[in-house]
Amino acid sequence: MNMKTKIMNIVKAFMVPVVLYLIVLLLAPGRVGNLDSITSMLTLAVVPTVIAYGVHFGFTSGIIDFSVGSRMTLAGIFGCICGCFFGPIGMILGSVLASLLLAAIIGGLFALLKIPSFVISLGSLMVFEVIGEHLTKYCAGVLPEVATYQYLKAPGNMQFLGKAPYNFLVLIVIAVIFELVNTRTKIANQARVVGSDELIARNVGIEPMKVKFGTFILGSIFLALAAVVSTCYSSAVGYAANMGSMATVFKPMMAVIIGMSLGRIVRSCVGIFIGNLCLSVIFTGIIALGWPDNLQNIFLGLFLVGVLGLPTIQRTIAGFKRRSAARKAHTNMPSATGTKM
Amino acid sequence: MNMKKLLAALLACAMMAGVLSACGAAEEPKGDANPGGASVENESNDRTEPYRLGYINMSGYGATFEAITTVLESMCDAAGVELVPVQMAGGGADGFITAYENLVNMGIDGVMASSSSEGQVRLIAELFEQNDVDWFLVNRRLSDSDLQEYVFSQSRLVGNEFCYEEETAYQVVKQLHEEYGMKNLAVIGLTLGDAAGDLRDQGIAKACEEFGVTLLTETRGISSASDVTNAVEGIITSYPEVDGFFIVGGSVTNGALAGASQALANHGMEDKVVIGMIDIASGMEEYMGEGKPLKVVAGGNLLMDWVISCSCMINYANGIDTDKTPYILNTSVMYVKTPEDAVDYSTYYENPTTPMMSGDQWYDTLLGKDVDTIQAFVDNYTLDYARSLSE
Amino acid sequence: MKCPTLEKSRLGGTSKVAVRSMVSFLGLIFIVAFFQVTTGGRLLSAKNLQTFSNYAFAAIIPCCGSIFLMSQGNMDYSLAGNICVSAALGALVSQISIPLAIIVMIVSSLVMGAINGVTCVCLGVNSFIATLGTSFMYGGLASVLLGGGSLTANYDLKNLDTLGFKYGAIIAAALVSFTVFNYSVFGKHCRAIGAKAEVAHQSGVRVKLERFAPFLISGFTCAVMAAFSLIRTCNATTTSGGNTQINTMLGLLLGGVPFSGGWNSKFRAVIVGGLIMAVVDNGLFLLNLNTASQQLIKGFIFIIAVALSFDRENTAVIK
Repeated sequence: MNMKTKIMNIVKAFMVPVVLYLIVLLLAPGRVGNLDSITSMLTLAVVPTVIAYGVHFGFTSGIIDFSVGSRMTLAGIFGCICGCFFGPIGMILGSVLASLLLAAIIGGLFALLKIPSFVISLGSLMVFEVIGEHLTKYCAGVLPEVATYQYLKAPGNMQFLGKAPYNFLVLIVIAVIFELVNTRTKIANQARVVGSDELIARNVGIEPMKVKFGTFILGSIFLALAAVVSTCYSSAVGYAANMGSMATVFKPMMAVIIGMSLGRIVRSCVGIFIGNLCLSVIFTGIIALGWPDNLQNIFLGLFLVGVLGLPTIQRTIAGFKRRSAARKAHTNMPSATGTKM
Repeated sequence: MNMKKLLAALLACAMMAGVLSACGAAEEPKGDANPGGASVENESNDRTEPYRLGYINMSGYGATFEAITTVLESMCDAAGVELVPVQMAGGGADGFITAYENLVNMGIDGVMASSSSEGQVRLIAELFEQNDVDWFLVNRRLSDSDLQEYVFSQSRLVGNEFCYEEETAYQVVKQLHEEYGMKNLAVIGLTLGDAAGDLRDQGIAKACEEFGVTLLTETRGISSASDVTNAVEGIITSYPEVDGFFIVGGSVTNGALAGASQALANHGMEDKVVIGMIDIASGMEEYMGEGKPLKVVAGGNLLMDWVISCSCMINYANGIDTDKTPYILNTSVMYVKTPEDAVDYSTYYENPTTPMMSGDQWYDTLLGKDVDTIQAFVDNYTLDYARSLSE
Repeated sequence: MKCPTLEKSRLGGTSKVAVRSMVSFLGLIFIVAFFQVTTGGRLLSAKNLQTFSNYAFAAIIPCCGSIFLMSQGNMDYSLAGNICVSAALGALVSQISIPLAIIVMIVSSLVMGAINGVTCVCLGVNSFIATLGTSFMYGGLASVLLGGGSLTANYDLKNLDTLGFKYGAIIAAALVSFTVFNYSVFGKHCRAIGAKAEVAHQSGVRVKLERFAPFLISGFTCAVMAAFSLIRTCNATTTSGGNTQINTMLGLLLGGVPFSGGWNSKFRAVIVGGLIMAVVDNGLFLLNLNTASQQLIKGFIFIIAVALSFDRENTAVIK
């Protein structure tokens, strides 16, 4: 693929959020037609994009993981505690270590017990949420300077990471790392093979359970970074209860799906970002238009189904056109007697 | 295949045996014995066993509800009443109904009952009436006159108390407008479907109309601190004229206040935008004061709702004012406006681990008192008074 | 003459299969016994039968519909949204006429099921993703219909909240579902499609049509659940339906249905898995543990129970 084609493909891919933005701009020109608004839409896409990078590996290999939100929360809590004692580096390392440990637990259970990821992730989500709640309340008692009864605070000197333009710099760095990991590591490549056809993968010598365990570990690093960025962005991380953290994974998952469907024309890291950008444009657009935000869910659902159904609709239309052209050609073909059929 | 059939048959027999033996059981096992040991002797009922008072324990839903549990345990302990808690069976309307059915099955004498919506109250009333259970309707104002007539005609209804949620929301908007000149308001609310939230929305709408405040937009169903930051960020950029936020339900989403404040700080608007909130959030003092956005927090009614209800039920069980049922009482909110007040509020009033009053203090103020005295106590209750109790 | 080695391995294989298929039963017996003892006999008491009927209804009815989907290797993540919309419409119409409300609930749920079916079958979208998308749509639609709150239904619906009606409905649904799943051509075709869709197609099964139908069945069970919700609470709220899809999938997995469907999907999973879910929920509630402890215990139970009952040998791909 030459450079011109690559650039055209990237432009084509970015057309999706641009078209969405133009629609919103037409409907509410005074509200979104400024740089602040565009920056805000881009900012809103940062954290979900990093989460989506973490979800991507497992999703590619066929894993459904509902525990993403609860693991992020615990990683964020641990990061805040370490940040309090060891500063910014402590916060990042603490988050990563906690995330790796949780991923090892859940991945290990999955590989050992060999039961559907749906069940493991759901069970883990329930356990991790309760741990998060107790840890927060415990910290409120012993570390009142960093924790309240409901949440933990991000270290003050780290909060700049959540603001523009630093959050974009962070995103670019994480995106580059993701792209390198996704294209150059054995685990990521094998995850694609396993996700595509596990039986064939097994036949060529790949061990699916090992690969899936690896995707948990790999994804957890990005989830830890997402926890750090998210905590810095909102300056706090609060525990979730009653399976509320399950909702965290849905929008990044949608973005991964959109990214995969754009995978033919752009790289995954860009495709996932575009997916999240589309969702944040829809979100901001609904706020700007003053519509009730329950419409947001309707549009999100329609958008997801539309994006995924589009290739099939295109194929059906193309097939219909082909058949109609063939029928026409057959009709216009002269018969053996010289008359049109 | 035969083994499976045998097991299935065994299972069916075991369950049938269990059902038959349980059906033939003489008495339902009671809950934990009253630690106080004293029994409430009610002249009208000739009761020798402790009065069993049930309620739904929602302490898993936050610090406010933990404080409620602490206070109820303290009051019942002082009065020699057995407090019978039951957990919420899942969320929503079905959860409430199932929990109350369970309480009835546990053989309670009375219950402090709330509901997720007004429509449920009739079902609850029928349940308690059919099972001869005294009940008190907590934190629910009945707007439907037919329903009100029906509920208040129930013989087992001891009373009803409520807070004027609409008025509270109205006052918050009024104070933000009059004291800080707010003119353009955005609402970050509870998920639609919550009855209190709906009433608060009405109060907001009324205040906006009366004071000429523009209600720019609303965002709901927030589940995390970063969601709040996203919402505030989106609102600030779409509506640069916004100068006020109303967080309706500060205790529902952990870190909501922190998320909102951070979004304002990111845009350098901490001292240009004011925030008003209903329901107390942990750590809110950090966002109050000079140059900080949080200006007024309305709260305290949730705890007082249950204090009133419990004291009324205990007094009713003791034969006080039994001819004046159903009692109609209401709670007021406290408006917390300074960091010092916020700290004292969580220390002396809504403390999850320490009850707001001791045993003797309950008797000095509420226990053994008539309904008018209880209402007067609530009307005059302030943060200064709460501080004085601990001295 | 029989080969001793082969015979031994066959018998050994047969006993392994038998043990594995018994684990779900044993698990149910154990859980019932455990909670019966720890609740002081309240689980199987006469008074608790009413409460238990609610849990059993909420667990078994959706499983009766979803077994057809799961046997094909599909799933429906939009159950809660479907129930919510249906309940909202039912509450609105019940003020005019209750029979009309029931018809409206059934029609609306079938339409939503059909949308799921079209998205999955005709547009070729993976069922989890398709129904995830539609769950967002239905949730938003329910929110719009409820217009800022809850809707009260006709109180006469409460008259149907009887033990006989609920257990009768459970037994009727289970019998119909059992008969169709085990003894009808459609049921066999569902499992064949789950085993290998291409082979089923080559064998003359109308795969697209028979993949579409279970979504309608699932939709119908949502209508039943919505009606149940209105009968219980006379209210439709945004939380009507709760976590039905999660509980249903967990119930079927606990009962031993493989995630990818196929011939190992047995109907007993509906009853066993549904009862396990109902007993666990009811038992934890009776134990009066706080919600955090309940959640913690449930998490462990689900992982352990599925780990014990899951048929790994006959599942080619574990996702």
